[in-house]
Amino acid sequence: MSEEQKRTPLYQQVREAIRTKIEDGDYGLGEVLPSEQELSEIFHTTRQTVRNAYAALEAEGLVRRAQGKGVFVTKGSPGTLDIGDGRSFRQSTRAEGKKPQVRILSHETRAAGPWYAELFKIKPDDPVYAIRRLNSVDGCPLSLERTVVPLVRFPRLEGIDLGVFSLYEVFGFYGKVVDATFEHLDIAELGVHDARFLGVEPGGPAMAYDCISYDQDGEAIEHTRTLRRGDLGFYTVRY
Amino acid sequence: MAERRVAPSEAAFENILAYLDAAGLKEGDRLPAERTLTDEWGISRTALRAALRELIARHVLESRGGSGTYVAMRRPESNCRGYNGYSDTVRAVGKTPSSKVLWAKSEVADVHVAHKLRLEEGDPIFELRRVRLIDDLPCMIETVYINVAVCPGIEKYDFQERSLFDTLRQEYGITLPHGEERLSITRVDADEAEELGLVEGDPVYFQTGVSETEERTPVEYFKAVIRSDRYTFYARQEHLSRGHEIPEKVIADE
Repeated sequence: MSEEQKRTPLYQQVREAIRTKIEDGDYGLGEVLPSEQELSEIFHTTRQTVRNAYAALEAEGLVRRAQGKGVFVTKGSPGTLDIGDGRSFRQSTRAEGKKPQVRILSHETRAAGPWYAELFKIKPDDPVYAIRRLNSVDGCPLSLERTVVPLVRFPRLEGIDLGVFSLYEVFGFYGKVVDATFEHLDIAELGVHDARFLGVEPGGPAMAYDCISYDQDGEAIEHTRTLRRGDLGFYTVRY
Repeated sequence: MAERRVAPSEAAFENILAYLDAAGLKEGDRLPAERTLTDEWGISRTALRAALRELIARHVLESRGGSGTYVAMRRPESNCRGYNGYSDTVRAVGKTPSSKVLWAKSEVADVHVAHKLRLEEGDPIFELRRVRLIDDLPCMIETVYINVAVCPGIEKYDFQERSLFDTLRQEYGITLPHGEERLSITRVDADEAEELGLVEGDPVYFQTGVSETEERTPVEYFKAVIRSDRYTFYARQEHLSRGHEIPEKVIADE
Protein backbone atom coordinates (compact mmCIF):
# COMPACT_ATOMS: atom_id res chain seq x y z
CA MET A 1 0.00 0.00 0.00
CA SER A 2 1.37 3.40 -0.90
CA GLU A 3 1.80 6.10 1.70
CA GLU A 4 -0.96 8.13 0.11
CA GLN A 5 -3.52 5.37 0.55
CA LYS A 6 -2.51 4.74 4.15
CA ARG A 7 -4.47 7.65 5.51
CA THR A 8 -7.98 8.09 6.78
CA PRO A 9 -9.99 8.49 3.58
CA LEU A 10 -10.40 12.22 3.07
CA TYR A 11 -14.17 12.03 2.94
CA GLN A 12 -14.09 10.45 6.42
CA GLN A 13 -11.99 13.30 7.75
CA VAL A 14 -14.42 15.81 6.30
CA ARG A 15 -17.38 13.80 7.60
CA GLU A 16 -16.02 13.75 11.13
CA ALA A 17 -15.06 17.40 11.05
CA ILE A 18 -18.61 18.39 10.06
CA ARG A 19 -20.11 16.02 12.61
CA THR A 20 -18.00 17.63 15.32
CA LYS A 21 -19.12 21.09 14.19
CA ILE A 22 -22.76 20.03 14.43
CA GLU A 23 -22.18 18.44 17.85
CA ASP A 24 -20.32 21.52 19.03
CA GLY A 25 -23.39 23.54 18.06
CA ASP A 26 -21.45 25.58 15.50
CA TYR A 27 -24.12 24.59 12.99
CA GLY A 28 -27.64 24.53 14.44
CA LEU A 29 -30.74 22.62 13.47
CA GLY A 30 -32.08 23.79 10.12
CA GLU A 31 -29.02 25.87 9.29
CA VAL A 32 -27.29 25.66 5.96
CA LEU A 33 -23.83 24.09 5.84
CA PRO A 34 -20.91 25.42 3.76
CA SER A 35 -21.11 24.66 0.06
CA GLU A 36 -19.10 21.86 -1.52
CA GLN A 37 -16.89 24.51 -3.08
CA GLU A 38 -16.18 26.24 0.24
CA LEU A 39 -15.42 22.99 2.08
CA SER A 40 -13.21 21.67 -0.69
CA GLU A 41 -11.09 24.83 -0.33
CA ILE A 42 -10.93 24.59 3.47
CA PHE A 43 -9.85 20.94 3.33
CA HIS A 44 -7.72 21.27 0.20
CA THR A 45 -9.68 18.54 -1.48
CA THR A 46 -12.06 17.97 -4.37
CA ARG A 47 -15.75 18.73 -4.46
CA GLN A 48 -16.38 15.02 -5.06
CA THR A 49 -14.75 14.21 -1.70
CA VAL A 50 -16.97 16.74 0.05
CA ARG A 51 -19.97 15.34 -1.79
CA ASN A 52 -19.09 11.85 -0.51
CA ALA A 53 -18.80 13.18 3.04
CA TYR A 54 -22.20 14.87 2.80
CA ALA A 55 -23.68 11.67 1.35
CA ALA A 56 -22.38 9.70 4.35
CA LEU A 57 -23.78 12.28 6.77
CA GLU A 58 -27.11 12.21 4.96
CA ALA A 59 -27.19 8.42 5.29
CA GLU A 60 -26.63 8.89 9.03
CA GLY A 61 -29.52 11.33 9.16
CA LEU A 62 -27.47 14.33 10.27
CA VAL A 63 -27.99 16.45 7.19
CA ARG A 64 -30.35 16.77 4.25
CA ARG A 65 -29.30 17.79 0.76
CA ALA A 66 -31.81 19.91 -1.12
CA GLN A 67 -31.24 20.18 -4.85
CA GLY A 68 -30.07 23.66 -5.78
CA LYS A 69 -30.48 24.96 -2.23
CA GLY A 70 -27.63 23.47 -0.27
CA VAL A 71 -27.06 21.09 2.62
CA PHE A 72 -28.98 21.56 5.86
CA VAL A 73 -28.57 20.32 9.41
CA THR A 74 -31.50 18.02 10.23
CA LYS A 75 -30.40 16.71 13.61
CA GLY A 76 -29.47 19.47 15.94
CA SER A 77 -27.80 18.67 19.18
CA PRO A 78 -29.85 19.37 22.28
CA GLY A 79 -26.55 19.91 23.95
CA THR A 80 -24.26 18.02 26.19
CA LEU A 81 -25.32 15.86 29.03
CA ASP A 82 -22.80 15.27 31.71
CA ILE A 83 -22.99 11.68 32.77
CA GLY A 84 -24.68 11.06 36.12
CA ASP A 85 -23.97 14.47 37.52
CA GLY A 86 -26.75 14.23 40.08
CA ARG A 87 -28.96 16.74 38.39
CA SER A 88 -32.44 16.02 37.15
CA PHE A 89 -33.23 16.10 33.46
CA ARG A 90 -35.08 19.37 34.01
CA GLN A 91 -32.26 21.00 35.90
CA SER A 92 -29.59 20.14 33.37
CA THR A 93 -31.81 21.14 30.45
CA ARG A 94 -32.64 24.51 32.02
CA ALA A 95 -28.97 25.06 32.75
CA GLU A 96 -28.46 25.00 28.99
CA GLY A 97 -31.14 27.63 28.51
CA LYS A 98 -33.59 25.16 27.00
CA LYS A 99 -37.10 24.19 27.89
CA PRO A 100 -37.58 20.72 29.38
CA GLN A 101 -40.89 18.85 29.27
CA VAL A 102 -41.65 15.67 31.15
CA ARG A 103 -44.68 13.59 30.25
CA ILE A 104 -45.75 10.70 32.45
CA LEU A 105 -46.64 7.77 30.21
CA SER A 106 -47.56 5.32 32.94
CA HIS A 107 -47.14 4.69 36.63
CA GLU A 108 -47.94 1.69 38.74
CA THR A 109 -47.30 -0.10 41.97
CA ARG A 110 -45.99 -3.64 41.67
CA ALA A 111 -44.15 -6.28 43.65
CA ALA A 112 -40.38 -5.83 43.70
CA GLY A 113 -39.59 -9.33 42.45
CA PRO A 114 -36.21 -10.96 43.01
CA TRP A 115 -34.00 -8.51 41.13
CA TYR A 116 -35.31 -5.26 42.61
CA ALA A 117 -35.50 -6.95 46.03
CA GLU A 118 -31.77 -7.61 45.89
CA LEU A 119 -30.98 -4.11 44.60
CA PHE A 120 -33.05 -2.25 47.19
CA LYS A 121 -32.45 -4.76 50.00
CA ILE A 122 -36.17 -5.35 50.43
CA LYS A 123 -38.40 -8.43 50.20
CA PRO A 124 -39.57 -9.71 46.80
CA ASP A 125 -43.19 -9.06 47.86
CA ASP A 126 -42.51 -5.47 48.94
CA PRO A 127 -44.07 -2.87 46.65
CA VAL A 128 -42.08 -0.75 44.25
CA TYR A 129 -43.34 2.15 42.18
CA ALA A 130 -42.59 2.11 38.45
CA ILE A 131 -42.89 5.24 36.31
CA ARG A 132 -42.38 5.69 32.59
CA ARG A 133 -41.63 9.17 31.37
CA LEU A 134 -40.97 10.84 28.06
CA ASN A 135 -38.53 13.73 28.21
CA SER A 136 -38.49 16.42 25.55
CA VAL A 137 -36.31 19.45 24.98
CA ASP A 138 -37.86 22.50 23.30
CA GLY A 139 -40.69 20.27 22.11
CA CYS A 140 -38.44 17.62 20.60
CA PRO A 141 -38.68 14.10 22.14
CA LEU A 142 -35.28 13.09 23.48
CA SER A 143 -35.46 10.18 25.89
CA LEU A 144 -37.68 7.57 27.50
CA GLU A 145 -37.12 6.72 31.13
CA ARG A 146 -38.35 3.88 33.22
CA THR A 147 -37.78 4.49 36.89
CA VAL A 148 -38.36 2.12 39.79
CA VAL A 149 -38.24 3.23 43.43
CA PRO A 150 -38.86 1.19 46.58
CA LEU A 151 -42.10 2.29 48.28
CA VAL A 152 -40.83 1.04 51.63
CA ARG A 153 -38.52 4.09 51.68
CA PHE A 154 -41.04 6.44 50.06
CA PRO A 155 -44.46 5.59 51.49
CA ARG A 156 -47.40 7.28 49.73
CA LEU A 157 -45.20 8.29 46.82
CA GLU A 158 -48.01 7.18 44.50
CA GLY A 159 -49.98 10.24 45.60
CA ILE A 160 -47.36 12.71 44.37
CA ASP A 161 -47.69 13.99 40.81
CA LEU A 162 -44.36 13.45 39.12
CA GLY A 163 -45.54 15.65 36.28
CA VAL A 164 -45.35 18.51 38.77
CA PHE A 165 -42.43 17.57 40.99
CA SER A 166 -39.14 16.12 39.85
CA LEU A 167 -38.12 12.84 41.39
CA TYR A 168 -35.18 14.56 43.07
CA GLU A 169 -37.55 17.06 44.64
CA VAL A 170 -39.70 14.22 45.89
CA PHE A 171 -36.67 12.50 47.39
CA GLY A 172 -36.10 15.76 49.25
CA PHE A 173 -39.64 15.55 50.74
CA TYR A 174 -38.48 12.34 52.44
CA GLY A 175 -35.22 13.86 53.60
CA LYS A 176 -33.19 11.94 51.05
CA VAL A 177 -30.62 13.30 48.65
CA VAL A 178 -29.01 11.50 45.74
CA ASP A 179 -25.41 11.32 46.87
CA ALA A 180 -23.97 8.86 44.37
CA THR A 181 -24.88 7.46 40.99
CA PHE A 182 -23.57 4.48 39.09
CA GLU A 183 -24.35 4.54 35.44
CA HIS A 184 -23.75 1.97 32.74
CA LEU A 185 -23.94 2.70 29.02
CA ASP A 186 -24.95 0.57 26.08
CA ILE A 187 -26.32 0.90 22.58
CA ALA A 188 -29.85 -0.40 22.13
CA GLU A 189 -32.12 -0.89 19.16
CA LEU A 190 -35.45 0.91 19.52
CA GLY A 191 -38.57 -1.22 19.41
CA VAL A 192 -41.69 -0.12 17.55
CA HIS A 193 -43.42 1.50 20.54
CA ASP A 194 -40.38 3.25 21.94
CA ALA A 195 -39.44 4.53 18.47
CA ARG A 196 -42.92 5.98 18.02
CA PHE A 197 -42.70 7.91 21.30
CA LEU A 198 -39.32 9.27 20.31
CA GLY A 199 -40.42 10.10 16.80
CA VAL A 200 -37.82 7.98 15.02
CA GLU A 201 -37.81 4.91 12.81
CA PRO A 202 -38.12 1.54 14.58
CA GLY A 203 -34.76 -0.23 14.82
CA GLY A 204 -32.89 3.05 15.11
CA PRO A 205 -30.10 3.09 17.66
CA ALA A 206 -30.47 4.61 21.09
CA MET A 207 -28.00 5.26 23.85
CA ALA A 208 -29.22 3.16 26.75
CA TYR A 209 -28.11 3.86 30.24
CA ASP A 210 -28.92 2.09 33.43
CA CYS A 211 -28.46 4.27 36.45
CA ILE A 212 -28.66 3.36 40.11
CA SER A 213 -28.88 6.25 42.56
CA TYR A 214 -27.82 6.01 46.19
CA ASP A 215 -28.87 8.27 49.02
CA GLN A 216 -26.65 9.83 51.69
CA ASP A 217 -26.76 6.56 53.67
CA GLY A 218 -25.48 4.57 50.70
CA GLU A 219 -28.81 2.83 50.10
CA ALA A 220 -30.06 2.30 46.55
CA ILE A 221 -33.20 4.43 46.15
CA GLU A 222 -33.77 4.50 42.41
CA HIS A 223 -33.12 2.49 39.30
CA THR A 224 -33.66 4.18 35.95
CA ARG A 225 -33.17 2.84 32.48
CA THR A 226 -33.08 5.57 29.88
CA LEU A 227 -33.28 5.23 26.13
CA ARG A 228 -31.94 8.37 24.58
CA ARG A 229 -32.24 8.99 20.86
CA GLY A 230 -28.97 8.02 19.23
CA ASP A 231 -29.25 10.69 16.59
CA LEU A 232 -29.40 13.49 19.12
CA GLY A 233 -26.87 14.54 21.64
CA PHE A 234 -23.90 12.87 23.18
CA TYR A 235 -22.13 12.55 26.45
CA THR A 236 -19.29 14.78 27.40
CA VAL A 237 -16.88 14.13 30.22
CA ARG A 238 -14.29 16.66 31.28
CA TYR A 239 -11.54 15.63 33.61
CA MET B 1 -53.81 0.34 46.36
CA ALA B 2 -54.16 -2.48 43.89
CA GLU B 3 -50.91 -3.86 42.67
CA ARG B 4 -50.41 -4.64 39.07
CA ARG B 5 -49.16 -8.08 38.24
CA VAL B 6 -45.81 -7.79 36.54
CA ALA B 7 -46.03 -8.67 32.84
CA PRO B 8 -44.81 -12.25 32.29
CA SER B 9 -41.92 -11.33 29.98
CA GLU B 10 -40.83 -8.58 32.38
CA ALA B 11 -40.98 -10.98 35.31
CA ALA B 12 -39.00 -13.56 33.34
CA PHE B 13 -36.40 -10.91 32.45
CA GLU B 14 -35.91 -9.93 36.10
CA ASN B 15 -35.96 -13.57 37.23
CA ILE B 16 -33.13 -14.46 34.86
CA LEU B 17 -31.05 -11.45 35.94
CA ALA B 18 -31.54 -12.34 39.59
CA TYR B 19 -30.78 -15.99 38.85
CA LEU B 20 -27.48 -15.13 37.08
CA ASP B 21 -26.38 -13.22 40.19
CA ALA B 22 -27.64 -15.76 42.72
CA ALA B 23 -26.24 -18.78 40.88
CA GLY B 24 -22.97 -16.95 40.23
CA LEU B 25 -23.03 -17.74 36.52
CA LYS B 26 -20.07 -16.31 34.67
CA GLU B 27 -19.10 -15.55 31.09
CA GLY B 28 -19.40 -18.63 28.90
CA ASP B 29 -21.60 -20.55 31.36
CA ARG B 30 -24.62 -22.19 29.82
CA LEU B 31 -28.12 -21.35 30.96
CA PRO B 32 -30.31 -24.29 32.02
CA ALA B 33 -32.69 -25.65 29.40
CA GLU B 34 -35.79 -23.55 28.64
CA ARG B 35 -38.03 -26.25 30.09
CA THR B 36 -36.24 -26.17 33.44
CA LEU B 37 -36.66 -22.40 33.70
CA THR B 38 -40.32 -22.28 32.62
CA ASP B 39 -41.16 -25.00 35.16
CA GLU B 40 -39.11 -23.36 37.90
CA TRP B 41 -40.76 -19.96 37.53
CA GLY B 42 -44.16 -21.07 36.30
CA ILE B 43 -43.98 -18.96 33.15
CA SER B 44 -44.77 -19.61 29.53
CA ARG B 45 -42.19 -20.44 26.93
CA THR B 46 -43.27 -17.30 25.03
CA ALA B 47 -42.52 -15.09 28.03
CA LEU B 48 -39.18 -16.77 28.60
CA ARG B 49 -38.14 -16.36 24.99
CA ALA B 50 -39.10 -12.68 24.96
CA ALA B 51 -36.95 -12.18 28.06
CA LEU B 52 -34.03 -14.10 26.53
CA ARG B 53 -34.23 -11.99 23.38
CA GLU B 54 -34.06 -8.79 25.42
CA LEU B 55 -31.11 -10.08 27.48
CA ILE B 56 -29.28 -11.07 24.30
CA ALA B 57 -29.94 -7.59 22.85
CA ARG B 58 -28.49 -6.11 26.04
CA HIS B 59 -25.34 -8.24 25.70
CA VAL B 60 -26.03 -10.04 28.97
CA LEU B 61 -26.57 -13.37 27.23
CA GLU B 62 -25.62 -14.77 23.86
CA SER B 63 -27.22 -17.40 21.71
CA ARG B 64 -24.97 -20.02 20.15
CA GLY B 65 -26.91 -21.53 17.32
CA GLY B 66 -28.67 -24.68 18.41
CA SER B 67 -26.56 -25.33 21.47
CA GLY B 68 -28.36 -22.98 23.83
CA THR B 69 -28.00 -19.68 25.60
CA TYR B 70 -24.83 -18.64 27.39
CA VAL B 71 -23.67 -15.80 29.58
CA ALA B 72 -22.12 -13.27 27.17
CA MET B 73 -18.54 -12.10 27.13
CA ARG B 74 -17.66 -9.86 30.02
CA ARG B 75 -16.91 -6.53 28.38
CA PRO B 76 -14.04 -4.31 29.43
CA GLU B 77 -15.34 -1.06 30.88
CA SER B 78 -14.01 2.43 30.39
CA ASN B 79 -14.67 5.16 32.93
CA CYS B 80 -14.80 7.75 30.11
CA ARG B 81 -11.46 9.29 31.02
CA GLY B 82 -9.48 8.93 27.81
CA TYR B 83 -7.50 5.98 26.59
CA ASN B 84 -4.73 5.88 29.15
CA GLY B 85 -6.20 2.69 30.48
CA TYR B 86 -7.40 0.78 27.44
CA SER B 87 -5.06 -2.16 28.00
CA ASP B 88 -5.73 -2.08 31.72
CA THR B 89 -9.49 -2.19 31.19
CA VAL B 90 -9.07 -5.29 29.04
CA ARG B 91 -6.74 -7.00 31.54
CA ALA B 92 -9.13 -6.13 34.36
CA VAL B 93 -11.66 -8.58 32.94
CA GLY B 94 -9.04 -11.28 32.46
CA LYS B 95 -8.51 -10.78 28.75
CA THR B 96 -5.55 -10.03 26.55
CA PRO B 97 -5.34 -6.70 24.74
CA SER B 98 -3.50 -6.36 21.44
CA SER B 99 -3.21 -3.89 18.62
CA LYS B 100 -2.83 -4.01 14.88
CA VAL B 101 -1.27 -0.87 13.47
CA LEU B 102 -3.01 0.24 10.28
CA TRP B 103 -0.58 3.09 9.90
CA ALA B 104 1.79 5.22 11.92
CA LYS B 105 3.24 8.23 10.18
CA SER B 106 4.38 11.81 10.31
CA GLU B 107 1.80 14.17 8.92
CA VAL B 108 0.79 17.80 8.95
CA ALA B 109 -2.29 18.96 10.80
CA ASP B 110 -5.35 19.78 8.72
CA VAL B 111 -7.58 22.62 9.85
CA HIS B 112 -9.74 20.34 12.04
CA VAL B 113 -6.92 18.53 13.85
CA ALA B 114 -5.02 21.80 14.24
CA HIS B 115 -8.03 23.35 15.94
CA LYS B 116 -8.36 20.43 18.36
CA LEU B 117 -4.67 20.44 19.29
CA ARG B 118 -4.49 24.24 19.33
CA LEU B 119 -1.90 24.18 16.55
CA GLU B 120 -1.62 25.95 13.22
CA GLU B 121 -2.74 24.22 10.06
CA GLY B 122 0.33 22.54 8.56
CA ASP B 123 2.10 22.00 11.88
CA PRO B 124 3.72 18.55 12.19
CA ILE B 125 1.75 15.79 13.87
CA PHE B 126 2.10 12.05 14.35
CA GLU B 127 -0.88 10.05 13.21
CA LEU B 128 -1.47 6.53 14.50
CA ARG B 129 -4.39 4.35 13.47
CA ARG B 130 -4.85 1.01 15.15
CA VAL B 131 -7.39 -1.75 15.42
CA ARG B 132 -7.54 -2.68 19.08
CA LEU B 133 -8.42 -6.23 19.92
CA ILE B 134 -9.58 -8.25 22.91
CA ASP B 135 -8.44 -11.87 22.86
CA ASP B 136 -7.82 -11.39 19.14
CA LEU B 137 -11.36 -10.15 18.48
CA PRO B 138 -11.54 -6.67 16.92
CA CYS B 139 -13.07 -4.20 19.34
CA MET B 140 -12.38 -0.69 18.03
CA ILE B 141 -10.59 1.35 15.40
CA GLU B 142 -8.78 4.18 17.05
CA THR B 143 -6.99 7.08 15.39
CA VAL B 144 -4.80 9.41 17.41
CA TYR B 145 -3.14 12.63 16.36
CA ILE B 146 -0.18 13.65 18.47
CA ASN B 147 1.45 17.05 18.64
CA VAL B 148 5.02 15.96 17.83
CA ALA B 149 6.46 19.26 19.01
CA VAL B 150 6.23 17.87 22.57
CA CYS B 151 7.54 14.40 21.68
CA PRO B 152 9.96 14.61 18.74
CA GLY B 153 10.91 11.22 17.34
CA ILE B 154 7.70 9.50 18.52
CA GLU B 155 7.31 7.99 15.04
CA LYS B 156 10.35 5.77 15.67
CA TYR B 157 8.53 3.54 18.15
CA ASP B 158 6.56 0.43 17.23
CA PHE B 159 3.04 0.83 18.59
CA GLN B 160 2.04 -2.66 17.58
CA GLU B 161 3.74 -3.76 20.78
CA ARG B 162 4.17 -0.61 22.83
CA SER B 163 1.62 1.40 24.68
CA LEU B 164 1.42 4.96 23.39
CA PHE B 165 0.83 6.33 26.86
CA ASP B 166 3.68 4.38 28.42
CA THR B 167 5.95 5.68 25.67
CA LEU B 168 4.89 9.26 26.25
CA ARG B 169 5.45 8.87 29.97
CA GLN B 170 8.69 6.89 29.93
CA GLU B 171 10.46 8.50 26.98
CA TYR B 172 9.14 12.05 27.18
CA GLY B 173 7.93 12.45 30.75
CA ILE B 174 4.44 13.38 29.50
CA THR B 175 1.37 12.37 31.44
CA LEU B 176 -2.16 13.21 30.34
CA PRO B 177 -4.33 13.53 33.43
CA HIS B 178 -6.86 15.95 31.91
CA GLY B 179 -9.03 16.14 28.87
CA GLU B 180 -12.45 16.04 27.38
CA GLU B 181 -14.17 13.01 26.00
CA ARG B 182 -17.34 12.79 23.98
CA LEU B 183 -19.41 9.74 23.24
CA SER B 184 -22.15 9.39 20.65
CA ILE B 185 -23.49 6.81 18.22
CA THR B 186 -22.59 6.46 14.57
CA ARG B 187 -22.92 3.79 11.90
CA VAL B 188 -19.91 2.06 10.43
CA ASP B 189 -19.00 2.58 6.81
CA ALA B 190 -17.81 -0.28 4.58
CA ASP B 191 -14.11 0.00 5.54
CA GLU B 192 -14.81 0.19 9.26
CA ALA B 193 -17.26 -2.70 9.03
CA GLU B 194 -14.64 -4.89 7.42
CA GLU B 195 -12.01 -4.17 10.08
CA LEU B 196 -14.47 -4.69 12.92
CA GLY B 197 -16.27 -7.72 11.53
CA LEU B 198 -19.58 -5.87 11.30
CA VAL B 199 -22.08 -5.11 8.56
CA GLU B 200 -22.03 -1.65 6.98
CA GLY B 201 -24.50 0.57 8.81
CA ASP B 202 -24.29 -1.25 12.15
CA PRO B 203 -24.43 1.18 15.09
CA VAL B 204 -21.25 1.66 17.11
CA TYR B 205 -19.97 4.12 19.67
CA PHE B 206 -18.21 7.11 18.22
CA GLN B 207 -15.79 8.47 20.73
CA THR B 208 -13.65 11.51 20.36
CA GLY B 209 -11.63 13.64 22.68
CA VAL B 210 -8.53 15.54 23.56
CA SER B 211 -6.04 14.54 26.25
CA GLU B 212 -4.10 17.23 28.07
CA THR B 213 -1.10 17.53 30.30
CA GLU B 214 -1.18 18.70 33.90
CA GLU B 215 -0.75 22.24 32.49
CA ARG B 216 -3.75 21.68 30.18
CA THR B 217 -1.69 21.57 27.01
CA PRO B 218 -3.44 19.34 24.46
CA VAL B 219 -1.09 16.59 23.30
CA GLU B 220 -3.43 14.08 21.73
CA TYR B 221 -6.67 14.25 19.78
CA PHE B 222 -8.32 10.87 19.37
CA LYS B 223 -11.35 9.34 17.78
CA ALA B 224 -12.60 5.81 17.75
CA VAL B 225 -15.43 3.65 16.51
CA ILE B 226 -16.19 0.96 19.05
CA ARG B 227 -18.27 -2.20 19.04
CA SER B 228 -20.85 -1.97 21.80
CA ASP B 229 -20.97 -5.75 22.27
CA ARG B 230 -17.25 -5.85 23.07
CA TYR B 231 -16.68 -2.70 25.07
CA THR B 232 -18.70 -0.60 27.45
CA PHE B 233 -18.66 2.60 29.44
CA TYR B 234 -19.63 3.52 32.94
CA ALA B 235 -19.66 6.58 35.12
CA ARG B 236 -19.55 6.62 38.89
CA GLN B 237 -20.27 9.83 40.74
CA GLU B 238 -19.91 10.23 44.46
CA HIS B 239 -20.57 12.89 47.10
CA LEU B 240 -22.99 14.65 44.79
CA SER B 241 -25.07 16.02 47.65
CA ARG B 242 -22.23 18.28 48.75
CA GLY B 243 -22.56 20.27 45.57
CA HIS B 244 -26.31 20.09 45.14
CA GLU B 245 -28.49 21.11 48.01
CA ILE B 246 -32.26 21.01 47.65
CA PRO B 247 -33.12 20.92 43.95
CA GLU B 248 -34.50 24.08 42.44
CA LYS B 249 -38.25 24.59 42.20
CA VAL B 250 -39.55 22.77 39.19
CA ILE B 251 -42.25 24.33 37.06
CA ALA B 252 -45.11 22.13 35.97
CA ASP B 253 -45.33 21.17 32.36
CA GLU B 254 -48.28 22.60 30.57
